[in-house]
Amino acid sequence: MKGIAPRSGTTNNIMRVFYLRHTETPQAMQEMVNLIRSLGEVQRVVVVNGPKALILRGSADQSALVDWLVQQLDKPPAAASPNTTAVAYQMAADPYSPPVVRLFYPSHIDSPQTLQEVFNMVRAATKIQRSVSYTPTNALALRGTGDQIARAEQILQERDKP
Amino acid sequence: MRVQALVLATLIAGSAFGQSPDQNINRVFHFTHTQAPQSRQEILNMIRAIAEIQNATVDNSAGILAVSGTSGQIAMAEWLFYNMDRPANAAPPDPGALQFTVAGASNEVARIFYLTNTPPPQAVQEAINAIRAVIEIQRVVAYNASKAIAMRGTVEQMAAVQWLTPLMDKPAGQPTGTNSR
Repeated sequence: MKGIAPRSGTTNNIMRVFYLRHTETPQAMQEMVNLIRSLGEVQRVVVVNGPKALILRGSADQSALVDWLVQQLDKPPAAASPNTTAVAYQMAADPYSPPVVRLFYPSHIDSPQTLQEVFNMVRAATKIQRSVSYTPTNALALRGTGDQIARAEQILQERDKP
Repeated sequence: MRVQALVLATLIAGSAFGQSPDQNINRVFHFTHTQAPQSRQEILNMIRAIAEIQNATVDNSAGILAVSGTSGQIAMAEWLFYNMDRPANAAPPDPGALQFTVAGASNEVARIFYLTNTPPPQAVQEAINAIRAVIEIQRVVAYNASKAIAMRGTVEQMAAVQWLTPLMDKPAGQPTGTNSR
């Protein structure tokens, strides 16, 4: 079942339930929740481990972003990388929030520790506030301005070499 | 003039004293089907939280639960007690009986939901946490023996819980896709 319906006469109050297919462990599900909270600025998002349900309440824009994030992140590890190096999502115009969300899948950074080091470097160099590493698919998720994301991509290309 | 003011003040004071506040009523419920002390404690906690009754105690040796509160609080406590103190294998009550309108509040209700596929108690607690976090209902309490969740909130909040509960209460491995409201 798909679709978005507003709650009780408002389009700013949507509830959604996503059932995760490929995210198996409670830790991975919690990482996804943390990523969504950080990048989507969504406060009301939780996971219920039994049915692997991710439950969200937020605005239409937040709901659309989370839909995209779940599609990108809920993949088997082999399917998520390394063929796709980056995928981007353009947020609706909002003067108070950075507009670009981007996921990077480094091809040659294969340990969580190295991923964290690169993550710290990107964050320091770009001053991106909303950035999360996602270890189940070895991804870096960033939200920033176009310039910040371009700088992050440049750093990752320099570091992500055999 | 002064006499008139005095008479008026007397009348106002008299009418105020004449309004009898809802006096406290004492009530004792006898457990029929609930033997385990933990289950009795859960029913007590539920009545305290949902009916907002502070003065409630369980006497395990006598098999009773005693409450003291207003008539509205006692009515809700009675509704909760008899919906929880049921035989272990009893079918869930008629859905129409699972909602209680709070006395004097047009938009506030208490409601009981039963989980059928969620193994207690950790998964029940997860469902409660989700309801608290997403729908912002503070008064949510579980009764693990019958996998019941009782809560109190607005009509709109209950409608949201009614939508969400079956989506959380699914066997592991069965659900796919997304649901929206």
